[in-house]
Amino acid sequence: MLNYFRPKTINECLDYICDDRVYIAGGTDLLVEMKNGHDLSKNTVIDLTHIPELSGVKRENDEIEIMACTTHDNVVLNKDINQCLRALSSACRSVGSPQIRNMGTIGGSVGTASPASDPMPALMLADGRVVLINKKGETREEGLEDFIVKPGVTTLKNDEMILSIKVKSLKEYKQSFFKIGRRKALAIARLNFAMAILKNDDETIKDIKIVIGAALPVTKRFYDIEKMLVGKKLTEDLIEQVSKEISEQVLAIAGPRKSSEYKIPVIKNVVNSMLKEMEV
Amino acid sequence: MKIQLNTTINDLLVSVEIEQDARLLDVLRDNLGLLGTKEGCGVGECGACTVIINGKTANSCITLAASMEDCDIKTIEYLSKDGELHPMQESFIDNSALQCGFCTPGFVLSGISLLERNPKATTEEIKEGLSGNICRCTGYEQIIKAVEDVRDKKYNKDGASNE
Ligand code: FES
Ligand code: FES
Repeated sequence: MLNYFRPKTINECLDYICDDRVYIAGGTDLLVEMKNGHDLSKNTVIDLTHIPELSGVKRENDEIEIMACTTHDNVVLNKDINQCLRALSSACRSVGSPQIRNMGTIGGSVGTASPASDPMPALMLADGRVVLINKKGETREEGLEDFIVKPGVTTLKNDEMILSIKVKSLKEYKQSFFKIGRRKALAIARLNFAMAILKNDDETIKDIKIVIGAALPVTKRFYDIEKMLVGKKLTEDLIEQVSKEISEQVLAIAGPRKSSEYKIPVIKNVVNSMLKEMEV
Repeated sequence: MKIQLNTTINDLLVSVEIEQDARLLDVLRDNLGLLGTKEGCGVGECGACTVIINGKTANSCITLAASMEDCDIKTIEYLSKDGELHPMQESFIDNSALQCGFCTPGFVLSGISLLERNPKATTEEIKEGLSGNICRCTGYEQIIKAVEDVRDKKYNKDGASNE
């Protein structure tokens, strides 16, 4: 490390932002990279762990703002998120191990743009937007789908940092999150799914949201299918048709790879059973 | 570059000169001689290096020591008082929940921490709470039993505390 700074406020932090900056929050990614030989000798490391205003959850009406350094565990424990965004509570509960959940942060999992991120599908389900602040103190917001460009790459500029993630309350929606991992608990997701559904009194769909992560280079929301479903009833035939369509779309984007042989039928089955579960 | 780290470890205020990029694990072992914290994988997967930071378990192998300024860190050495082991440590011995012992400090701390959070943890919940710790010797059965015993000794079947 060329320089190491541990600011106590966001303002102080902005002073340290420079072209060679690297942020550290939970450390669950950076320290592993360092161990794997990632050379930081030319970098300025900005430690975000001592900025109280960067962690916590705020709720204002239908909007929930999760500050960047809020740990996965604190998301799990948060009442507002439990009430309004249960899919995110479940997603954060399924991250790594207890130790990793105590360390890793929501901003870190967005900023590293890992395709296997567990919170990501649930954040996208809730129309997640990332709030960025630059060295001059100006903020901008960007939808997560635009912010994540490809694995490990975001639109974060050199003079910016992640301030928070804003999500919409889905309190009235029925929600579910499902993950298939490689190994019991530590598993990095191989596939994860988040869904939310809101029905009219006559049982037709008022709104539905469907997200799949870890199957594709970036987590994907199926807007076209969501739109097609509005106003319809989730009959068994329709569920069958939707799960087929989704798995075919994934195959079309991912292309035929070795892992697709396993993933495509699994995607179809999981989407099918999740939709059925939400129907009851 | 070296910096000064001021923090609390096992209830003692510590001021120690460290490298900027040192890991907490190395500071504990090399600078402070607290050898109970072990290094297994070094990448946050095995839990041998588990410590408690501000009341929550963490992997010290992927914790930047410099981040620990003004924190409250507890290691396995914290547990025994005046030569008396902690009930969780006793329970590990009584249940033969260790063989080589390398993973034990981490398991003991995870076990204590999960029961503190959830005193009536079910077996499933105990397994989940221990899921960040790996043991290559015992096959886990005895470890889970050891944690269950501590839970049961502290709480009646109806959940009322004996204390
Ligand atoms: S040595 Fe830290 S988790 Fe394995
Ligand atoms: S007792 Fe040897 S690794 Fe657990």
